[in-house]
Amino acid sequence: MLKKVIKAEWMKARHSFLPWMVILGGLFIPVVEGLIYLFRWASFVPEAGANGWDTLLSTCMGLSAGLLFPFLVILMVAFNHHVEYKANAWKRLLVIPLGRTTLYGGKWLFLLLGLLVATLIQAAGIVLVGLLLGWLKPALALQLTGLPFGFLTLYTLRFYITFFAILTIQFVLNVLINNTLVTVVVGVFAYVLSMVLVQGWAYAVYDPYALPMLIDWENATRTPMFQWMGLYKPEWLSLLYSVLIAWGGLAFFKRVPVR
Amino acid sequence: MITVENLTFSYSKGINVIDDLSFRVPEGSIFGFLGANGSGKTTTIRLMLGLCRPERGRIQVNGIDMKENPSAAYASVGALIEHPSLYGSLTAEENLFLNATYYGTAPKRIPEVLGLVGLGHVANKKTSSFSLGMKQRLGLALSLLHTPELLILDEPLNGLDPKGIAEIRDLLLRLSKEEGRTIFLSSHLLGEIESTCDTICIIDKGKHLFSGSIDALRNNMVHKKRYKIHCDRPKEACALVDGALNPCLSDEGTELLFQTEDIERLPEVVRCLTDSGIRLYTLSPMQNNLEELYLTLTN
Repeated sequence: MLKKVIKAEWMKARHSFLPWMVILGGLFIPVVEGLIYLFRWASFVPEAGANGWDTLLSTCMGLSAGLLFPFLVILMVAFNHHVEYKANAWKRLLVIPLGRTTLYGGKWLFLLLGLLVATLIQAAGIVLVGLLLGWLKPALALQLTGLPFGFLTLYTLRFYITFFAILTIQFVLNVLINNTLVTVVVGVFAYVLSMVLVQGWAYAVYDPYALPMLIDWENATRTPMFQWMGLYKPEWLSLLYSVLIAWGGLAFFKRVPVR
Repeated sequence: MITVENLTFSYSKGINVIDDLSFRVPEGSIFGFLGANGSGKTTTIRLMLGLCRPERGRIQVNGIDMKENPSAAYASVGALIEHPSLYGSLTAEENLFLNATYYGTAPKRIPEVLGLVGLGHVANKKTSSFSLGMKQRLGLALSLLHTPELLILDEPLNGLDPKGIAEIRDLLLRLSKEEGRTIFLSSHLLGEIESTCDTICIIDKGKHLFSGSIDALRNNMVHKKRYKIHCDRPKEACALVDGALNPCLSDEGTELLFQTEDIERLPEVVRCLTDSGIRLYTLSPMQNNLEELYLTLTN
């Protein structure tokens, strides 16, 4: 059942701007960071014996988490819902014998998959850009042999999970509000506010829009956080928020009348 | 096939858009659902499809209670609600393929339904470039794709040219007579309803006015028959008819229209007019077509 919805979502999205949004969103930061490295490479040469990958990975992911991906997620979700509102398709979708729960779940999973693809493209982009830089400027110590696969995998996973909360909130907002522009404005406002709060507010870690900014890219150089199974407080909170908000959104979606 | 019992619904508290509405759609029939703009036709359809929840009442489709298990009922229902829902960036074929994915319908059915609604030649054209009539046809194809037993069509003839209307009318008649499908048809085109439907339901301001066959409506309305008089001084005649005998409905040109519940009063009307020196040319009963019946009933 869910597979049918995800397949249908892909069919609707494949001729739209959404796949390009995911691909370009994933590649943007690695390419920009690669160009910065290329033109100012001397300032990125690591100390003797240090691994150049650590800085490249944390810089790319930190920039992406703080600047690009929140907007990418907000726009991706809005775009996905806009397609339905534009086609006036909700009234048709809701009389398909799949049930509202399946429809809701399928659309949510499709967006999580879109986010996963963007995250993986970003990770692959960082590796490719790093290898290219390592080949052009060997002093940057970015050779394949030095690539920390474990670090890359774990941080890609943590990066991905911290966006669950934003994606789910935006998803539910789009279910509640017909006007996608309003949901984008609300999302961007909430994110900008989080950028301010995260600078000094002690409880910013509980703000779902601030979670991606709170991943400790420097291997616990900040205040030590709760950790379990390799995931830290922001990731667990993001998972918790997304499950609770998705559930609340579903309860509403099952009852919402369609005019 | 469909049973609606004591349906009541309001968008805002205290104002019932649908008020204690009941009717039954017989299996295999083409059922016409009539009402003026804002009378609650589309809301009733939305309630029937479970898109809104009724405050009171019960809806059963194929014996399945829409409140309890709507998904089970949806499998046997094809619906076109107001404007068709089409993804403009997809072609006609892709729109149908999308629905086939949801319903698990074999893709070989797609060219069949496109041919059925006369859109076979534009299968690979993006629907954003379709005219309103073409969109209506594709909307109909979408509702027919999974070969449902029941078709619920809200204004399916909107935007169609006369040829298109005739084609869709023939298609609906064929689906009903040859394939035994039940068709619930809401439309403003009374002539079309009359030539297509065997049973009708008329609502006004969310309230049930009539349901049954058109013949039954004619029989019901026989006492409210309208007559047309062609005479030389219609205004004066109208005042005489209006004041003395029956309500005069209109006087235009050389004609006046009046309504009487008692056919025995006709000679009185004639005598009254001739005694006043009005020259009568013709006196004829209005044809009891659906439009006349509808207007009389809703007046």
